[in-house]
Amino acid sequence: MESKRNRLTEIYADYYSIIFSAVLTKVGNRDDTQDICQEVFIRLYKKLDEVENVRRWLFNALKLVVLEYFREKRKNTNLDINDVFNDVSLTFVNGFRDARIIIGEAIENMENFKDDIERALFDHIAVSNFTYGHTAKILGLTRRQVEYRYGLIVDRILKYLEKRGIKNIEDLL
Amino acid sequence: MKEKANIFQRVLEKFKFGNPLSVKDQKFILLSMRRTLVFTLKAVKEYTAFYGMVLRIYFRAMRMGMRLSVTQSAFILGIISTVAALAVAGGIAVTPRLFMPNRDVRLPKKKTGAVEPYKQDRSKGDLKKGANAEEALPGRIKKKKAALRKYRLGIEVFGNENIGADKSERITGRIKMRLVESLGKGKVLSLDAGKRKHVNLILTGSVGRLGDLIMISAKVIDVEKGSAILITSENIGSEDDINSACDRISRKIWMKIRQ
Repeated sequence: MESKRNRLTEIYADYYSIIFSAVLTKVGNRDDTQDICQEVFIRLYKKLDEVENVRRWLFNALKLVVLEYFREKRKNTNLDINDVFNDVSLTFVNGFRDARIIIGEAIENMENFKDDIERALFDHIAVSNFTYGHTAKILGLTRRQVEYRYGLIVDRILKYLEKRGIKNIEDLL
Repeated sequence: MKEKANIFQRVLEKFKFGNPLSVKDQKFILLSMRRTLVFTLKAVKEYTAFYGMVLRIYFRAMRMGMRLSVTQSAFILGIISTVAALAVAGGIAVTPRLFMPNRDVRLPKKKTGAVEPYKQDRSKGDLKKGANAEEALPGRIKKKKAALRKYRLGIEVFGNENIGADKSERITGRIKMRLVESLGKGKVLSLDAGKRKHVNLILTGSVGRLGDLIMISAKVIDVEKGSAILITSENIGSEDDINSACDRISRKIWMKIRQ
């Protein structure tokens, strides 16, 4: 049976950089970002036995910890989570909003990813804009493996979008 | 495939799905990942020095493109530690031998054969006494030892007839000096009474005067055999020729002994 500590280490290795990039875009400085990330993973360690979907749990915990950070920093306990994490989809209108929703569903659908490694790989490259080389070093893969597997993920997502009516993705540009 | 991926990337950026990180920040994450995890583990009181070493191997393997589990990393650390411990133990065992003096004396190589080491027992002198010790020695060394024993020459003071004792002593001394020069200091002894058993060869002789003629005779006796191996003499007409006569006699003795 894998120990709690080992599980935390392996989850940390896969998700730390994605959590870090999500927090950094909100917070803006590395030191505070590191502290927030550390707090997120400490809370994960305490609840590790109860967590089923680690990725979803981490992003929810991230929002809470960032909110606490801003409340403390701005000395405003009434600050709302929506004030910090705006719904980006609201910035799009009509057809573009619908397209964004469909793309969002495609990204969140776990059937488009074979395993957690592919999920993490996609988050690193597509969401956080990591290079193939850096992603390879973080996830313990070779650069060629990362490039190949990312290509396969994109193919699956494009097929999903095709079934949902977005036949030619270049039209969205 | 690459083109599709690029287009898809641009779509995600347009629809604001990303939290893009600069390359500088990406490098920062790579460098600080392990350290931040260590702080996290210390905060939850799960950090140990051994686990710190395991994490080093775990993250190093990741950077090299090998996705190991933490258990596998711990196993590799165990192997490395065992090999290192064995290497240190081996080094400790071997190091004293490097500083010990080498007591083996190597003889010059033979043309036909390999060198055999010969251990000398310095506490008892150069030559070992006793037949058993000799038999244990290699053949080449036995021959050399036999030659050395043959050269052990004892010189008795020459007798004198009709001539002063100082002359016979002077002649004995001159011959001895030349033999020491030829054979070596340890090979030639002045014999007192009762020391014949310590030598293999004995040089004895006499000096006599008959009118102006001086006669010097010398005899080399093999002690073991009890017989003379050389008898020689020189007749000179003047005391000025004594030294040259002594030199000739000593040369004859040397030539005979080294055969």
